[in-house]
Amino acid sequence: MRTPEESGMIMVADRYRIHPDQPLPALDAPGGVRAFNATDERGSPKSLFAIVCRRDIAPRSDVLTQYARFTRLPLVTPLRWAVVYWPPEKARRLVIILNQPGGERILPAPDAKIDAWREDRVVRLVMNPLMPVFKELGGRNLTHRAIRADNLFFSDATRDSVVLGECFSLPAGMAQPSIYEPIDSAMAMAEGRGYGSPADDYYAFGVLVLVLLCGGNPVPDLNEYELVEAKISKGSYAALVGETRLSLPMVEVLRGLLCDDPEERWRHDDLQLWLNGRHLSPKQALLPPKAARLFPFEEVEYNNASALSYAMGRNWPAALQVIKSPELERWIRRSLSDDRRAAAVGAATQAVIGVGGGAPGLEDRLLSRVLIALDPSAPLRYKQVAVRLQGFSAAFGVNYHNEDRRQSFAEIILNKLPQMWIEAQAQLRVDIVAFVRAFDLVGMHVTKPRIGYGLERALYALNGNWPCQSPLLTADYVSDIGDLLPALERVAQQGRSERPPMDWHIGGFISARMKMTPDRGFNELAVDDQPEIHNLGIVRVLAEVQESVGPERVPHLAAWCADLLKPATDKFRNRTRREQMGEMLQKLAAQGNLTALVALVDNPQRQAADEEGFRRARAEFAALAEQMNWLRNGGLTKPQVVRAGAREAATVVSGVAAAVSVLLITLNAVL
Amino acid sequence: MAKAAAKGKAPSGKAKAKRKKGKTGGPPRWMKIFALVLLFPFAAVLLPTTLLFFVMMAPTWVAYITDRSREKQLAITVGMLNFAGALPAIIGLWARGQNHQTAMDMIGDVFVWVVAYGAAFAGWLIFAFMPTVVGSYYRMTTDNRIKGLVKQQKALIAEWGHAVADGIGQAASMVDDAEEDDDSEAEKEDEDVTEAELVQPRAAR
Repeated sequence: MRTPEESGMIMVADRYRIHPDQPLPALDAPGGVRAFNATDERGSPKSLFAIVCRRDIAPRSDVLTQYARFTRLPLVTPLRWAVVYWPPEKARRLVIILNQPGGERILPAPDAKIDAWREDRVVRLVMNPLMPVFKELGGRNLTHRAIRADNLFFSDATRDSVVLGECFSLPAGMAQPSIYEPIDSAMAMAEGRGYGSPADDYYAFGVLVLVLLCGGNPVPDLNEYELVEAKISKGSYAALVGETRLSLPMVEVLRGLLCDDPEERWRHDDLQLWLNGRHLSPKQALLPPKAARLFPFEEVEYNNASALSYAMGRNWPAALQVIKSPELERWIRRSLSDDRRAAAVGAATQAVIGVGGGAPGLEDRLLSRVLIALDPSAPLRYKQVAVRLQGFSAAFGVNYHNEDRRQSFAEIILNKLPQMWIEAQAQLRVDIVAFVRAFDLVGMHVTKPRIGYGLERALYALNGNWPCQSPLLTADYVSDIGDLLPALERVAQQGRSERPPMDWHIGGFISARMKMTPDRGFNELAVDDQPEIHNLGIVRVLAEVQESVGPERVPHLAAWCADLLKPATDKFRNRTRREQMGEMLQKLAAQGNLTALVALVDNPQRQAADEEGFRRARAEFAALAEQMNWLRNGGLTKPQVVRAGAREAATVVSGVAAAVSVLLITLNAVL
Repeated sequence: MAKAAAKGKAPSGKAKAKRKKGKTGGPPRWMKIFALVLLFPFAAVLLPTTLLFFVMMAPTWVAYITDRSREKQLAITVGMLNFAGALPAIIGLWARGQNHQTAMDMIGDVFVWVVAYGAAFAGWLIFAFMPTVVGSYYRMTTDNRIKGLVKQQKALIAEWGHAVADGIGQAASMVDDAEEDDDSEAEKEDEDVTEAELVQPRAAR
């Protein structure tokens, strides 16, 4: 019987069928995540669709289970998800089956223009219906991070209700335009925004309301940099609303939702009260203190530290020049009258001046510290990297294949910049403090340049659901340790065993995902100049994975590993033993048990017996050689030896002849 | 210097060994004298036999005197066959009543001389040609044993690899060219055996 994959059908959970020949471009997610039509083979009338996730960017699979429960909310909820063979890419990919929204996107594209919605329509169609969503998400401390007008759909053709689009296909906040993000998140690179907090969703909700009221981007003339700079200098509400004419109640709710202080930002209860007709007066976040004197940087003059910090973070080479003079510290101390911040900046700039600009790595680190001191709430910035601490891991993963950025992330970890950022925070949140230990551990791993450690381990340790990026597994999607050996088994089955089933990514993936790191195997892997030890390490690590998470039988992979163990068996000196072990390896490989392979080769008794046998053989060989030397040196043929032997022989022959003669003579005489 | 020292040491070592052997090898002198004293009455009583015996065993006495080796194997070899050759004459003497006249007749009989001395000569021949026979036998044995040893070494190398011969270079090379060496070895051993054929007392060399 043919499996669905073999028959060309793509089935998820034996129920949902995906049709790769029926793409749904209207439902494609940002970042190249494509949508396809899907049907329920059990006959459910609901329209479904499937999104096919990318291998190089992990989706938010950690929240799928929780979102799957929100079936009654106006949300595009996931029904099932699985890794399936995806024929268009000839590879296995994670696909998520979702309920298809009945209507089109409210805003076809982020920069599209539509007819401005009336306030009552926004309240009736969007604000009121989405309140339960916020309540449920807030109750579970979940964040959506994809609340935006182009991710909002009409739920049917009547256009009388809406449904919020999916938020799983990319890391949290990655698909959000900067306008939808609060200041600190907007300052970060898109992939480095992190899952954030519910306050971020309320902010995005406020922007969504404003976009609908404006019929599109309310500030289309501002580029991303100008927009963030405006948010910093004027405050989000002032920057986004500007001259837009709004009713007083709408002003009230937008002031509450776009408040730049997340603690003061409106949440579910405030919104609910507002929707019930209560009038609240939201507190406005204080703007950053303005300096008495402007600070020039790259032909622009800045009047506050946050904006200057943002500008310096975006222009790293110029900022490096700035911190080489004491001017910045002086400006903070005199114009901003902030001695604490000036001292922090001064410590860093003095250090730079002290090194005389001779150590670029040190300068970069110090500039990062200066930027933290200038604006502690801003994202962590280092060279071309700007991330919120929560988004560090996802940004690291997304940029892993960019060599420059990967190096920057490595330097951030090694220079302990996340820990410095945390130390600089005025208010320490519990979730942020937990990062200290995580980054300490990761920093420790990064300093060990060998398989099972290094940046690869950091990648998978920081990203719990990131798929393994091994070149060996390009045709597979392995985000769970339990999927690793089956994936390698498929590789072995395809006969692609020209390279060993272990590399830096697989090693890092295993060490990050296993509860107990198989250190012995990784130590053996580090001995790469001795294939018998190195290869044994490979098999040992894989065997430990099999012991830990299965599966019980991986015959093709075991055969692959048996070949790898040949150098180890070749180290046995006895030919017969080697041949026997080769045969036993093949037999054990057929059973698919990697642990048995390791036990066969790594057997101290067998090794000791082999060594002892060899020692005896050498002794025997030496004895034979000695005996031969003796013979060749005339041991038997020396004149004196021959003479002695001849004398004895002559005596014996003579004695025998005489005895016979005497006997015959005597008998003759007697008879 | 070292050679000289070695040469100087060697005789003293041999002498020591000789002294040691003299003390422990063979019957003591007093026992030999005691045996002669004991045999003397018998020789006196059996005088015709003794006379005939001494005359017919003359080659043995000569062999005993000329063989200066400790074991006197030449004397034994010649003596045993000489005795077998003299025995018919002694039996004939006894058969005729064992008197002086008969003993003298026997001594005068050429046939008796030919038999006794011919047997002694056979003993001499055996002793003279035995080194050639034994040398050939030993050479053949050496060849066979070397081949056997080479075979065993090859089996060890096949089972354990060439590492088993590491550090035993001389032997290993011998394994490789053992067969080639056999011929030259045989020639060398021919010389050895030829030399061995010379039957000379050790002390005379």
